[in-house]
Amino acid sequence: MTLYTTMPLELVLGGIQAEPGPFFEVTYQGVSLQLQPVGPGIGRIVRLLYAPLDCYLQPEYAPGQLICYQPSGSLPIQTGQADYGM
Amino acid sequence: MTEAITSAFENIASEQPPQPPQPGQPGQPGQPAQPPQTLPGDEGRKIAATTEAVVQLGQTSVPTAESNIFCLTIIGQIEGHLMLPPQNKTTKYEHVIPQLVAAEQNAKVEGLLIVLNTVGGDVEAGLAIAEIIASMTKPTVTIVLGGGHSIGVPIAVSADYSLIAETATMTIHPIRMNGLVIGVPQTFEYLEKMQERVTRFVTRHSRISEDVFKQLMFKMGELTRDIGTTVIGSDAVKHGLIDAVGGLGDALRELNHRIQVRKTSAGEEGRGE
Repeated sequence: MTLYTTMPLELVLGGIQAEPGPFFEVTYQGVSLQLQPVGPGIGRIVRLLYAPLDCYLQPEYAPGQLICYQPSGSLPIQTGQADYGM
Repeated sequence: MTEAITSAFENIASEQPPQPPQPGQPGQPGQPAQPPQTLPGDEGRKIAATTEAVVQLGQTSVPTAESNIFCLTIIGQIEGHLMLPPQNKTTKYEHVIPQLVAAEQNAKVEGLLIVLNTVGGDVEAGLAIAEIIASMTKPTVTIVLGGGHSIGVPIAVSADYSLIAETATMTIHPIRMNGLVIGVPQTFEYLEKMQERVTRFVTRHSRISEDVFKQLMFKMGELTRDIGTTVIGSDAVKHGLIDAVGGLGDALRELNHRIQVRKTSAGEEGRGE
């Protein structure tokens, strides 16, 4: 791993010893996600572990987005549509 | 305040789409047939999804107009194999690479606009993104705003056409070793090989010559903490690193022109067969 950056490394790597997380994994509508817990049933997306290709074009699935993964009546995010938020 | 929020929710809730008309069912006898006043299915689903997102998460995304251009932003540090501490704003390559693959195969995407404002990052991740952009068949245009430093340089030159804002900068400097360095001559050879990967990519995908690039890279007295050069806007164009100085309008004009040219040539090929 070689970092090639103009930022001073002490700034970039400051606090690297702190353990990241906690993280957990859920499979939601066929998308396997790594999430950071925010509240009951709500998580912040860290990364997509396995997802249909078109999910990557949907802003709802971008890392950092909040997602409600608990099964409720209807679901906040549409899948199966290849329209990347259009 | 509470009333305002309640009324906002009521407004959103009132936007629930009416039931779509069932095909093949005529209007009630005695009543004139009404033209369907409902939203199309897709639109209705989107409004329902927005309402649900507001109720569940208290957030919603801005409605987006249909576009044939996919915009990719490369910001902050390009995060590679190491998860960087949270004070860094990062571009995660494990998300960007499948995004580019999806954009390449999605029929609705006709061109890519890549907006850069990056301070560099992981060499492997940066070169991976640059290589994948360079190998795409759809028209690609990059625009450097603010900065496209270090490993941002190969990404900036990887597209079919590159632009730089007048005030934007690009820092060209040598690669450093991080972590444990074993003080043997082989370490320097390894470092030179790593450096060579970046130099070769940049010189292949832009008009800059290897000599000029290395000259800029090893220049002394320009940077305060390093050797190298900061090239600003028109200097990057003068050295042949970037194609032109311009902004968003120029980038979109160029991209749309390239999309049209690609469509025309595809049409001609189709007729020729």
